Amino acid sequence: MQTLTTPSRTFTPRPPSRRARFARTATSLTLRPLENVIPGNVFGVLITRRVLASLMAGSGSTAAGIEVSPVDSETLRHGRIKGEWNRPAGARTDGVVLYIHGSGYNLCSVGTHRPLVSRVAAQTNLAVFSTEYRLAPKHVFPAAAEDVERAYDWLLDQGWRPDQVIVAGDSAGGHLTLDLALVLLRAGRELPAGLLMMSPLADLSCDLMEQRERLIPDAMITAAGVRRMFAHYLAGTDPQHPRLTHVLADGEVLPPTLIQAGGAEFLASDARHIHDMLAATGTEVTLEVWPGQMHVFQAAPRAVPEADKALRRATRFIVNALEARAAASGAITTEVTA
Amino acid sequence: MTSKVSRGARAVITGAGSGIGQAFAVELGARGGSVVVSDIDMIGAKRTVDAITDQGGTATAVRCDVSQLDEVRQLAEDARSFFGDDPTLVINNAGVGAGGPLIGDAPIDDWRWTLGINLWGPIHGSHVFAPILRESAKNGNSCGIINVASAASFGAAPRMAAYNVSKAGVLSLSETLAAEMAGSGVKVSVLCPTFVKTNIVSNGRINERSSSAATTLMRWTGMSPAKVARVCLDTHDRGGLYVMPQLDAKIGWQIKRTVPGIYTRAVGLLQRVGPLKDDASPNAAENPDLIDLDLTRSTIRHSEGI
Repeated sequence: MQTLTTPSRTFTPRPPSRRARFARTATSLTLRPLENVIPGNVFGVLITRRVLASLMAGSGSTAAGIEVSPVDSETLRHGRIKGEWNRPAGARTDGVVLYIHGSGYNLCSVGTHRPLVSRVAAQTNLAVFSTEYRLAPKHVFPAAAEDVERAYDWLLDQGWRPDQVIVAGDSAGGHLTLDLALVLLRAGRELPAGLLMMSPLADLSCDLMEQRERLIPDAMITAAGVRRMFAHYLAGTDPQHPRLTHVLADGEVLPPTLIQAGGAEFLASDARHIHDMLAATGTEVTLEVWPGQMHVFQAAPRAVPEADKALRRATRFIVNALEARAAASGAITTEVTA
Repeated sequence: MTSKVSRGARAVITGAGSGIGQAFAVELGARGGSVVVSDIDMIGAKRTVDAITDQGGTATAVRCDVSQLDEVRQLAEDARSFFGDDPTLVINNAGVGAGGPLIGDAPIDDWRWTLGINLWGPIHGSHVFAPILRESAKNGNSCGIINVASAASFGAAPRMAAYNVSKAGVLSLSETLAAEMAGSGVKVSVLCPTFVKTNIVSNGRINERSSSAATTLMRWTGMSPAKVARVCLDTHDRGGLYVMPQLDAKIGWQIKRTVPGIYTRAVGLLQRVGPLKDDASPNAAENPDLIDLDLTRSTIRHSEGI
C-alpha cells in the first residue's frame, strides 16, 4: 500500500532553478507593490480579480486534446451546479477528479485555473470536474464549503463511487478539500480514494503565515493583505471555527494525501501544519516542499521548469491512489496493471 | 582574505531556534552557506532548518545547552561530521533576558542562570571553536567568529544587572579575542544591538512591569532580526569589530565613552523618574509579535511523540 500510493521515486529537494529564482525576484518587484496600491475593500477585490485573470491567462493555455464542456444546471437535489468538465479524448472510465480551484475565497474561477486543470486531466487521462463555488465579498462563510459539498454529491449522482474519486485543490481549494474530506468522515460516509493539496491554506487567522513571512517574505503578498481579503469571507466569523481551523481527533484517518508547497511561499507553514496534523492521526500523507518555489508554482510551466516536474509527481499520485484503492476494494481492474 | 566569510559559510549558530540567531541562520543559508542550527528548543531549531532548506540551502538541527562545556564540545563534533570539514563561522548567539529587581533583590539563582548562558555560553564557544577556526584559517578558509552581546554591555541600565554584567563580559571577551586573532585570518565581531523584535523578553526571567515596558519599547523602536543579521554579516565581512546596527546604540556608545561619569548619573536620574517608577497597569502592553505560536508546536510534539 505504502509503496503504491506514495510517488514512485522519493522526493529529493533541489535548489531552485535559475528561472525559478528569476521568477521570484520579478514577482516581488512587480506584483507585491500592487498590494499597496489596490485597496482592501470590495473594489480592490474586483480589481485584483481582473489583474489575476489576465496574469493567469498568460501562464498557459488549455492542454492539447482536452475537451472542455461547461456545466451549469439547476438540479432538484443539489441546487445549482456550476463548473466545467475537462475530458481527455479516450479518458479512463475507472476514476474521476473533483478539482477545487484556489481563490483566497475572493478571486479566480474555473476559467483562470483551466490551464492547470486541463494539464491534470491530460497527465492522468482522467475526466476532471472543476467546480465553481460562491465567492466573497458577495457570499460569506460557509457558502464556499457548502457549494463544494454539493458538487461532490452531484458527482456521485452522475454514477461515480466515492472510491473512484480523487479530490484535488490548490490554496483555498486545498482548505476546502480538507474540509470536504472531514465532513464526509464525520458523517460516517465512504471517503474518496485520495486527496491532493497544492499550497493548501490551513489557518485563516493568518498567524502561521505572519510568523512565516518574518523568516521568508512571500513574493506576491503579505499576511496583512491576505487577512484583509479573508475578512470578506469570514464576515465576523471566528477563524477558529471548527470548519475553518480544522483539528483532527485521534483515530480520524483521511485517505492517502499528497501535499505540495513552494519553499518561498506564504503558505509553506500551513502546508507543514496540515501534513503534521494528518500524519499524527495516522493518515498516509506525503509532503513535498519545493525549495525556492512560489505559491501554486505548478500553474506556471512557462515560467519555471519545476512546475511540470511537480505536477507530474502529483498526477502520478492521483493515478496510484486510484489504483491502490481499486486493488484494496477488490474492484475489477481490467486495463490497469502497473 | 579574498572571499567573504558570510558567503558559502559552514556556520555553527547557537540559539538559532528563534530571534536573531534564527535570522542569522536564514541569511547565511540564503548566502549559500550550510548551517548547524543549535538550540535547546528543538522545535524552533527544526523550524529554522525548514526555512533554510525551503530556500534550497542545507542545514541541520542540533540540541546544545551552551552553559555546559561538554555539550559545546559535542556541538563542534556534530558540526564537523555534518560539514565533513571544519566550520568557518561560529556565532555565539544563545542568550536570555533577565531583569526587573534591583541588585540585592534579584535572586542569586537568576544571576547564575543568566551568566551561565549569556557569559559562559560565549566563553565555551570561544574556548572550543577558537583553535578550530585558527586551524581552518591556516588551510586557506575565510573564517570568523561573531559574539552577540548587546548595547547593555556598555549601557549599564539599572535593574538589569545580571544581563549587563554578562554582556559586558561578552564584549571584553570579543575584544580580547580580536586582539589575539590578529594576523590569524580569523575575523572577530561583536554585535551590540538595542531593541530587536524577538521573544527574549517573553522567554526570560523579567518581572511583569519591566517586561511590559521592554515590550512596548521593542514594538516602537525594535529593528527586525533579519535586518540586524544582514547588517552584522556585512560589517563582519568588512572586518569590523563593533557592530551597532542601530542609531541609539551608536549614540549611547559615544556618550558613554566620552563622559562616562555624567552618563551614569543621567541613567540614575532616568531610573528615578522614568517609566519603571510609574505604577501603570502592568499588563498594558501585550505584543502578539513576541508570543510564540503554539499551533504548530503542539502537533509536531504530538507526531514526534515528545
